[in-house]
Amino acid sequence: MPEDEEQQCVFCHIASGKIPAKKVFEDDKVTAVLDINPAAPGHILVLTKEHVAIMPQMSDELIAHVGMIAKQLGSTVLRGLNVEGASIFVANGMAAGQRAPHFMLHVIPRSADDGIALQPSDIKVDEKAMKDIWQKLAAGVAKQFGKEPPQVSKPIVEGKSQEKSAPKPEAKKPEKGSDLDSITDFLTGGKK
Amino acid sequence: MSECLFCGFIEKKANMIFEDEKTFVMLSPQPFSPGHVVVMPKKHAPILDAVPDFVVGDLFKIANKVCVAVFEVLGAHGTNVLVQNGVAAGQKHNHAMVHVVPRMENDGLQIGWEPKKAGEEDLSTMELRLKEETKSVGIFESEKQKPIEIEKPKERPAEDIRVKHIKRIP
Repeated sequence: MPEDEEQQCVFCHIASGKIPAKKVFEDDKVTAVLDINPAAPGHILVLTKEHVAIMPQMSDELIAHVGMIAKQLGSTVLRGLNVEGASIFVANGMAAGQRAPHFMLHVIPRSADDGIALQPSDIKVDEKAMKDIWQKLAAGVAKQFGKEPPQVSKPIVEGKSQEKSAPKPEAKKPEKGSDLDSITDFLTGGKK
Repeated sequence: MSECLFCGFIEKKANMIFEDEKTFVMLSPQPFSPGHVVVMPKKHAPILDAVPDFVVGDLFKIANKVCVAVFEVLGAHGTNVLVQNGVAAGQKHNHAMVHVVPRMENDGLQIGWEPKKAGEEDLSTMELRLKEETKSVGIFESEKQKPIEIEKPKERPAEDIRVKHIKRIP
């Protein structure tokens, strides 16, 4: 990551405390602040102090740490705010809804019918296509661990037979901004 | 155990992508998008809260590797990593899991929210309230060392008179 990108990253400054924010937790690796435009009251952002654009750039140790903090903040929200649920959410890449060029994990207090869309419905899948994806992913994940992929057989598909109510895709043009573009490049195969 | 659908999947190694001692990774039988993977603890836990910290660390570490694989082998443009804690958060099954959802540009998946305006005062009140609650955050439960098993010495046959002789203290 170029240094000036880091210096320009607002979220790096929030994580380091240079830009004031409503901080609810901090340790040597992360800072957790309240989102100023929350999905619900008590919406927390977990920011890494190290500048990381997306999760796959993190070390095993860092992501494990972020995960454990997320679990505990989720529990904090559940107990402390007396809500019915807590969502933990990460968007990697613009296609996934990422808006800023710095990794962040959202912890969102939930209540029934709060209008927050973090429970997508199942899609109908073709068994043959599913088997093909399974095979590819089993090999891809095994490679990550330096292991042999497991045997692939007939996939279990328990999707509802309902037609997917395809919502109209919003043809949103990516915002101008070289940072986000470079992330997109990274995600679409311009691998580092 | 048999009550839980996903414990059953783990037992049958259904749609298995990866497993180790404590975790099981499978292609979701109820996918949100093609290539949707779930990463679960093998030991039954109804919500993430009930999964030991060190296993949660593993779940995220593995979910991250799944993300890399999703980018590499499925050519996805993005991924969502999601934990639904509680029915109000959309949790459908009684087994904690981390979802990895491959995303493509304009795939039409409705994942997101309408950001709300929050007043300075409300945020400050919330900050104080949560700060109080996060005092125990960051103290992690680590795995208990397994008791070391020492093989019991086998019953010795009645001692040989010659050995006895050697062991004798002079």
